[in-house]
Amino acid sequence: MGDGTFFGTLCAVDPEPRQLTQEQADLLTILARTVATMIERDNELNQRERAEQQLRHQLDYTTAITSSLVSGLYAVDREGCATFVNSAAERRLGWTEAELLGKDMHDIIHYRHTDGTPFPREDCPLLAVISSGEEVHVDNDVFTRKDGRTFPVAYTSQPIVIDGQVAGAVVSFRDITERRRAEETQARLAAIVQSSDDAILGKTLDGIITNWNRGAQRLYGYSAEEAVGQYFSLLVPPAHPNEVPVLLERLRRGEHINHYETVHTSKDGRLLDVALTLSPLKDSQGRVIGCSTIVHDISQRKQAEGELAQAFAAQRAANEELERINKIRRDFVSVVSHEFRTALTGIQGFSQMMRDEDFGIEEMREISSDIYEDAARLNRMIGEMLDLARMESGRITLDLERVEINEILMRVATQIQTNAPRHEIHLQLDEGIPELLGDRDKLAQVATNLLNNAVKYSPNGGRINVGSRLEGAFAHVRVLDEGVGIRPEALEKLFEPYTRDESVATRYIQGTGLGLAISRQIIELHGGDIWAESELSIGSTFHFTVPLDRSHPTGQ
Amino acid sequence: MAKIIFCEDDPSVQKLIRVALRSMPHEIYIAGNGAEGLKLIERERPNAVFTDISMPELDGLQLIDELKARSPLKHIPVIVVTASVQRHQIEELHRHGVADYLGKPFNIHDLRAKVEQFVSTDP
Repeated sequence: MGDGTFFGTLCAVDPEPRQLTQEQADLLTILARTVATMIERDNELNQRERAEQQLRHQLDYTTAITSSLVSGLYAVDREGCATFVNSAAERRLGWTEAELLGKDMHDIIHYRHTDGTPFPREDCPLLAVISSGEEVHVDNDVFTRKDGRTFPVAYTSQPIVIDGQVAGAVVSFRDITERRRAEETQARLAAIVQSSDDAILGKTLDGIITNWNRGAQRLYGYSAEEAVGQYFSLLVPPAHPNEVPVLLERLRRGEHINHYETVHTSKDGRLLDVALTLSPLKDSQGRVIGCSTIVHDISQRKQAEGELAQAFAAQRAANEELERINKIRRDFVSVVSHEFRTALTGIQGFSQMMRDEDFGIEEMREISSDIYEDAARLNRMIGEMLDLARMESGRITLDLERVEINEILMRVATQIQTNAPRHEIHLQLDEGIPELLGDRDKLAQVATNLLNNAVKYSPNGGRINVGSRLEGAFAHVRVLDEGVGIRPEALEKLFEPYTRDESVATRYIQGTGLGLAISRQIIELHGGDIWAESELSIGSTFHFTVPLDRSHPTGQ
Repeated sequence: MAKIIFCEDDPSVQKLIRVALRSMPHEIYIAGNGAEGLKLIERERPNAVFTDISMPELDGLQLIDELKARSPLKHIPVIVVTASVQRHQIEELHRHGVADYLGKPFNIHDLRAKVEQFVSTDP
C-alpha cells in the first residue's frame, strides 16, 4: 500500500514453471501497486458515503425529536443569529424556521420587557450565556410574536460547546400564559380570602388548622403563626360541648354545612357568637382532604336579638304590671261598691221602715242612730279614698311639728279603750324617746288604724299591747294583738291598696281596704317603715318606725 | 213555726234584718259567718237559708257547696243576699244550686216577700 502496509498478494499463474526476467518482475510489481491503489481508492469512497449517510440519519432523528417537543427550541450562533428553530417554537413565535435562520433572535422576539419597555441586548441573559458559558434559567420574561403580541415565557439557555469553545446557545422555552393566568387567579383568590372581614380558615380532616386569614386574626386574636398547626378545638370554649368531631365527620362524607351557629372563644377568653360555613376541600381525584371554614361573627346580631328579647320582656312585664294595676282597680271598684251598698242597705232599709211603719220614740232614736252610723261610715270611706288618692299622687304634705310619739299613743289608746271595753289595752312606753318632727294628726291616724284593727280582729276581747322603744335614730312602735292572725301570703299584700280577697286575713282591711295602705303612705312620708308579723290563731304584731332626725328624709 | 237562718257579717245589716222581720211569725237566726251558719243549719234544719257571699271564714258559695254535699241539708232553699253580685254572676249562683237572689241594698217589702215565698214552699 501507499503507506507500506501489506494487505494482499498479486498472484501470476503460468502453465509450467519459468524463471521471470527482471523486466517481467518489475512489471508485476507495478501491476500489484496499481491494483492496491485502486482498491484503496474504492475503500475510501465507501467509508465517506457511509459516514454521510449516518449523519443524515442522525439529523433526521434529531429533527424528529426536536419537532416533537412541546417546548419551543432554537439555537443561535455566537452572534445570536438563529441556526435552528423547532416546530413548537415556530408555532409559538409565528415565524417559520426559514424566516428566522441567520436572523438576530434578540431583535426579533426578545426586544421588549414584560412592561413593554425596550430590552437592550447587553442585558439579555440569553446572550450572556455565550460569553459566560453558564446555563441560565429565567421564568418571568416575555417573547414577542410575529404579529407583535407578547406572551409570558420561562426559558433555559445552554451554551453549545464545540472543541472546548462556546459556539452558540440553545434556548428551550415554554409559553406560561396558562400557568400565569392560574397563578393570577389564585393570587386574586388568596387576596380576597386574606382581606375578607369574615374569618376564613382551612383545616385538615383531623381538625388541624392549615390556613388563617386576617379576618380570623382580627376575630380571634391569634396570629397565623400561633394558630396554624393547632387543633381547631382551640376555638371552642372549655365549658362548651366540642362539636368539632361531629362536624369533621359530616365533612368527611363530603357534606357542606351552612350557617352552623355556635359559640367560639377568642385568645383573650371572650365568648363569640359565630355562624360557620364549612365546605370540604377535594383533591383532583375528588377525595376530601380537608375543609374550609368561613366564620361569620354574629355577636352583634345575637346582642341585638338579646336586646330585642329584653325589650319584648320589658314590654310584656309592663303590660302585665298594667294588667295587674287594672285588676286592682277593678277589684277596688267592686270592693268599694260592695262596702257602699252594705252601708246603704242599713240607711235605705231603716229609713224605709221609719217612713212606712210605726215605731216608738226610743226605737226611732236608735234606728236614727244606726242610719247616722252607716252614713258616717260611708263618709269615712269616701274620705279614705280621697286621702289615699292625694297621697299617691304626692299632693299631700306633712304638717310637721315637734311631737311626742308616746303622747299620741296614749291619747289614741284611751279613746279606743273607751269604745272597746271588752279588750285590755296595755301600754309599755319608752320614756327615753325624745320629741321628733312629725305630723301629729297623721301619726294618730296610723295608731288609730292599727289599734282599731287589733280590736276588730280579737273578736273575743283579749289583750292588746302597745309598745314604743328608742332604737338608734328611730322611734319603734309595736301593736300586738291575740287575734285570729294573718296568712303569710296575705301578709305581703296587706299594705297594698285596693286589694281584698275572701280570707280571714284580708278582713283586716275591712271597709275600703285602704286603712293600711294609707298608714303606709303616712309612715313613708315620715321616712319610716311599716310592716306586720303574724301567726294564725296566735295573733299579729304591727310595727312602724319614725326617724327622730328628719334632716335626711326619705319621704317627701 | 218556720225557721229561717241568715248568714250576714255586717252588724248594721244584721240589726236591719231583725227589725224588719220581727213582725213575721217565724224564728229568725243570724250567723256572723259561713262556718257559724253551717253549724246552725245542721242543728236547726231551717226552712230556708239567706246568705251573704262575702264573709270571713266560710264564704257564701263555700257554705252553699257544703250544704249541697250533705243529703239532709241539700233540699233547703238558699237565697243569696249580697252587695257584690253583678248580673252576669247570677247564672253562676244558679249552677251552685241557689234558689233565688236579692241584691243589697234591698227593699224591705222584697225581703219579706222572699221570706214568705220560701217558707210556704215546704220541701
